[in-house]
Amino acid sequence: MNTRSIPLPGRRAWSLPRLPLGLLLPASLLVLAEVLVRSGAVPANLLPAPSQVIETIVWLAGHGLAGHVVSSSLRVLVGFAAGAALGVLVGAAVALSRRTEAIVDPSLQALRAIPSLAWVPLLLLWFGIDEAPKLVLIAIGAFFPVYMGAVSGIGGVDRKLVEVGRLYRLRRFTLARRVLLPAALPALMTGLRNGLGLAWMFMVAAELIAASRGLGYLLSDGRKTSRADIVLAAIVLLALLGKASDAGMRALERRWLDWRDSFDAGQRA
Amino acid sequence: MTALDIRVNDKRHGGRAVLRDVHLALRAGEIVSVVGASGCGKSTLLGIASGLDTDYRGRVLLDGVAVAAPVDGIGLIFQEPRLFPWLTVVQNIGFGGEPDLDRIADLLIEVGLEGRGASLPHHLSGGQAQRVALARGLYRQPRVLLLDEPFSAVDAMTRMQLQDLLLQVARDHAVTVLLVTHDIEEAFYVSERVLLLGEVVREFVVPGAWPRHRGDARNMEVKDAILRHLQQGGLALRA
Repeated sequence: MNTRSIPLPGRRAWSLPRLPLGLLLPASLLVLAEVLVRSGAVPANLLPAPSQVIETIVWLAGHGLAGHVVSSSLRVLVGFAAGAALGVLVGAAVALSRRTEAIVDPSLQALRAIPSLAWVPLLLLWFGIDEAPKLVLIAIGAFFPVYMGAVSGIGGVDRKLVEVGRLYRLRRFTLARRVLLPAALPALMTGLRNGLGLAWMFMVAAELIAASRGLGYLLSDGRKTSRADIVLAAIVLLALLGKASDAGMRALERRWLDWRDSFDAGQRA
Repeated sequence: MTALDIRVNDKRHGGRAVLRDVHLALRAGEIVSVVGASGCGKSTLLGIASGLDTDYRGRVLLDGVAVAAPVDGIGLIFQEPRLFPWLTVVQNIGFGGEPDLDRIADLLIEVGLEGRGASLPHHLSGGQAQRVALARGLYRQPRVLLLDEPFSAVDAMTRMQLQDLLLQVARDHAVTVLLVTHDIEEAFYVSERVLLLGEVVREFVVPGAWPRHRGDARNMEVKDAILRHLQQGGLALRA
């Protein structure tokens, strides 16, 4: 048997670096959109050419775009931090106590199924139209994935590692900090990344309905004034900000979970 | 002088008796192996002896003092290395407090892992990981070391090296060893006494000082008898 014909594990099918591959699809779509709009095949008032959207972003940059971006980002940051912190705490409590799980988890699973927009009227009634309802809505969005990540992460910690912790007579809090939390971190990080993604989505839902600043407001304003270029500019910025924040979380994940000997660690073709 | 005295009057799992009227006494510095059929309660016995399992009727005495919870004086090494994957070798060995780097460096030399202190567990082979587990077990200077089939997951050559390492560190640290194993050869190679755990605990004194020959002919008959006993689920010696 010719052993050289056996494919080596971990050998990549593509030698191109990742970034250009990831850009291939959006770049092709942008070129296609530009051609279709410029040729008149698609009306420019419905789908502005990508170059027009870039021009709009540049124009917006001189007309208060930074304020919109900062407003939205701060809302996501505060709402996500609150929702994620609560998600970790409640998730840990549920994972560590069967009784707490029996009391809390069924209700949370029911609440989890409620769509984001369904919360909006209630939050407006309760908190008015200031920052509070937006932050609460974003926190709700972030809470559930983090809660799920914490429950599955802590609940799935290898009993044998906990037993080693018990050999050292670790107190409950030290056991949680030194054994449970690090062991649960992979699942928790997945929850945090999903939570951050949902926080951006819930932020848009909140700003679409009641805001005078923010990218959600820009979306709403663009629709009201029939400016598809502004709507698309806001969508592009949301995509970029969401991607940037996820890249930040991934960098944290790589840093905190560099001890893992996982399939993810460069073995995928 | 008795270092470890274990008396289990009754230990149950889900209503089923696992251990009943078992009494073991280990002299200080002695190496004793426990063999027995699968499910006869060998690992349960170590759980009780380590203080991890307190749900039984009986008592454990370490140098005459009752053990009701894990104590530094008793180290436990499991079948799997059970290293914390997010900690380096040094951090694993010194787990539980501020690591004493000098002592850890000495232990690493002793177990043949000099220079591997910064490695993460997934960079170690199975045998190396078990050496780290042994160093971790010794770090807190136990008077008694309990080992639960610690070499069962490594290849034959590594197992022999680890058995010799165990003998070496047991002598150097003057530690009393209680080894649970399913490997009769291993039990007769490393121990002064072999205890066959069943309805009745039977004791076999192993002749010969170390270094011993593996497969010493003097023990063949008794090894065969124990092996038949284990193969038949514990019936042969009773008959």
